[in-house]
Amino acid sequence: MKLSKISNSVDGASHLSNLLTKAGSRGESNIFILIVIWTLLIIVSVLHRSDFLSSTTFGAITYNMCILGVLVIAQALVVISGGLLDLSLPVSLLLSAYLAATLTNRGLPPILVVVISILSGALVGLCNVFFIVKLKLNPLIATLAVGFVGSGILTLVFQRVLLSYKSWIIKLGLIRFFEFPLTWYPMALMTILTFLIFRYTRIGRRITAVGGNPVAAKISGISLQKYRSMVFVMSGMVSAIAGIVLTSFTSELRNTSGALQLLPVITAVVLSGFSLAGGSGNFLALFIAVGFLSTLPTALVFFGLGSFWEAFIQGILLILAVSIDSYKLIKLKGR
Amino acid sequence: MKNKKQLGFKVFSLLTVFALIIPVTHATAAPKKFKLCAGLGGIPGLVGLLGPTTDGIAKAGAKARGWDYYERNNKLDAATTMKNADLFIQQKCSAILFFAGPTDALAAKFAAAKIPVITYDLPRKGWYFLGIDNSQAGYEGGKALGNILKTQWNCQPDLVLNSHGYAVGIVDAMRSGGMSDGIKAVCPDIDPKKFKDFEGGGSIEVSSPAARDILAANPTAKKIAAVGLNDAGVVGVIQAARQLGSDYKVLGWGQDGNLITGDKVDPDLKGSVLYFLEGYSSYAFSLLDEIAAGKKPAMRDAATNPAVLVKPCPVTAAQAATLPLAEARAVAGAGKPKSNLYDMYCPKK
Repeated sequence: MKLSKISNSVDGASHLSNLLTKAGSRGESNIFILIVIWTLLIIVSVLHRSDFLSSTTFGAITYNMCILGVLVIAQALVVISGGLLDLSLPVSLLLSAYLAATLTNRGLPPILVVVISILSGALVGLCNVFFIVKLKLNPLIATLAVGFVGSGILTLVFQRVLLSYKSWIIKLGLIRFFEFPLTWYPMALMTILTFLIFRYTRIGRRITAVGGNPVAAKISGISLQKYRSMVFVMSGMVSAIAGIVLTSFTSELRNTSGALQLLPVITAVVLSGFSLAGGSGNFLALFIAVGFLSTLPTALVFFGLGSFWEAFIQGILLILAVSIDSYKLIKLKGR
Repeated sequence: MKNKKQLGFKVFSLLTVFALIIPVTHATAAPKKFKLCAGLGGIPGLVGLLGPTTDGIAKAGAKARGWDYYERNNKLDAATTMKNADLFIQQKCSAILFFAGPTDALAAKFAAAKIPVITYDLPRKGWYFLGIDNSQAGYEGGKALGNILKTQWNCQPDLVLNSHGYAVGIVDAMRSGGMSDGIKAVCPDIDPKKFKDFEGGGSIEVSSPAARDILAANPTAKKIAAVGLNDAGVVGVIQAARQLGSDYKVLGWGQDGNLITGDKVDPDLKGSVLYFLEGYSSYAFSLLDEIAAGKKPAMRDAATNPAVLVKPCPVTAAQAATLPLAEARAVAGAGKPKSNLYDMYCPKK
C-alpha cells in the first residue's frame, strides 16, 4: 500500500515536472512572437506618420496600460490555476473604485482608503471561493453569477460618485514620474513580482500545477482547495488595485464604470499564451500583450480609423488566440 | 296567498332595479373630472428622467387646476410598466404623462382606451412628444463657447474636440453637431480640419482615453476647445489633456448640466446647457390645458417635430454656481404650478 502511494507520488511529480517545463518553453516563444507583433505595429505606424514617436504618444499608451495591465494579472492568476475565467472582475473593480471614491470624499487618510478598497476585492474573491471551492460550482457560471449579483447590488447602492479635481486621488492620476504615469509603476511592479513568483517560487509552481494537472498535483500532496482559494482572493485584491487606479482617472464614477474592461482583459490573457485549460502562461508575455493592446487604439487614430475598429480587431485577435490555444491543446493530447 | 307573494316579489324586483339605475344614470350624467396620470422612470438616485419616483410638479399643477392626479412608478421595468398601463386604464385617466420605453403593446393599450399620452424624451408614433430642442441646445452651447474662444484665443484653437455618444442616434447628431455649428457661427474661420469627432460614450471613462489618443495624433495642438453630447464627455477631454501634460489649455462647454453644479465643478468646464429635466411636466401643461378643455391638439410625435419643445438654457459655470440643485428646483417648481423651471431659473442674458 505504502509502495503504491509512493509510486503514485513519484508519477505525479514527474508529470508535474514535464508540465512545468513545457509551460516555460511555450511562454518564451509567446514573448518573442508578441514582441515582434508589437514592434511591427510601431514600425508601420511610424512609417505612416513619423510623429507617432512622441512623448504625447508615449503618454497615451502608458496611460492605456495602467488599468488593463493590472486587471490582466488578476485574470491570469485564475486562468493559470485552472479556474477558467473570472467573470466577476468588473465587480471587484467597481466595488473598490466606489469605496475609494466615497472614502476619499469623506476625508479618510489615503492609506486607509487603499487598504479598505483592496480588502473589498478580497471579499469578492471570498464569495467566489465559497461557490467554486466549497460548493464546487462551475467557475465560469459562479463568477458570472457573482458578477451579476454584485453589479445589481452596486446599482442599488449608488448611481454615481463625484470627485473634486483637487482630491489626492485625482491628483495621483495626473502625476508622471520619468514620463511614465505614477499609476503605471504598480502595474509594472506586480507584473515582475508575479513573473518571479511563478518562475522561481514553490507557491507559483504549485498554482501552475493545480491548473495544469490537478490529479497529479493532488497525488503529489498539493492541496487544491488551498491554492484555488488563494488564487480567487488574490485575483479579487489585484482587481481592487485596478479599481483605485480607475478612480484616479475619472472624477465621475458611475455604477456602470469598468463594464467594458472584460473583453480586452480576456484578449490580453489569451493572446499572451495563457491556456484556458490552465497550467501554462508567462506573466512577462502578459505585459507585452498589454503593451500591444494599449498601442493599438492610439495607432488606429494615427491611421484615421475610429474607435469602432478597436473592438473589431480585438474580437478578431481573441478568436485567433483562442483557436491557436485550442489547436495546441489538441496537439498535446494527441501525443 | 301565492298570488300576493308573487306580486310582492315583482314589486320588490322593480324597486331594486330602479334603485340601481338612478345612481348610475346620475353618475353618467355628471361632468367627468379631468384626471391626470403619470408614469415615472422610477429608480431613486438615477440622474435625469430615470430617477424620479414621484412628480411633485405634475401633482401640484393638477391640483392647481382642480384635476385629479394619479401616478405610478414604472421602475424602468417592462412588466411593471405594462401593469401600470392597465391601472391607468382602469382609473380612466384623461391624459397620461409617460416616461418609459414605448412599446407596441403599450401603444395599443392606450390607443384602445383612447387616452392621449405625452411622452418624454423617447418619441412614439401617436403619442405627443415632449423633448428638448436638441439642435438649439447644441447651437446655443456652441455659440457660448465660440464667444469664449473669440475673447481668449481670437477664435484660434488648435483643435475642437467633439465627444459624441453615437448610440443615442439623432439626439447626438443634433446636440453634438449643433455645438460645432454654434462655434462656427461665432468663429467661421476655424479650419474645418481642426474639428475632430470621436466616440466618447457619454462618459469620462470612455471619452478620456479616446481624447488622449486624438491628442497624441495631434502632438502640436495645445489650445483645445472641447464640446460634446454631455458634460461627462467634455470633462473626459479636459482630464485627458491634463494627464498628457500641463502645457495644455482646455476650454470646455458641456450639455445636460450634470457636472456644472455643486462643489466639484472642473474649472476648465466653462459652462453647460441645462434642460431642467426635473421640471419636464411643467412644460406639458400647455398641452394638457388644451386637452382638458376638450380640444384635440394636432398630433406631433417626432423628435424633429415635437408637440412641446423644452427650451435649453445655456449657463456659465459662474451662473450655475448660483442655482439650487435639481431636487431643490423640483420642490420649488411644485410650489409654482402655473410656471415652469426655465422661467424660474434660467439666468437672463
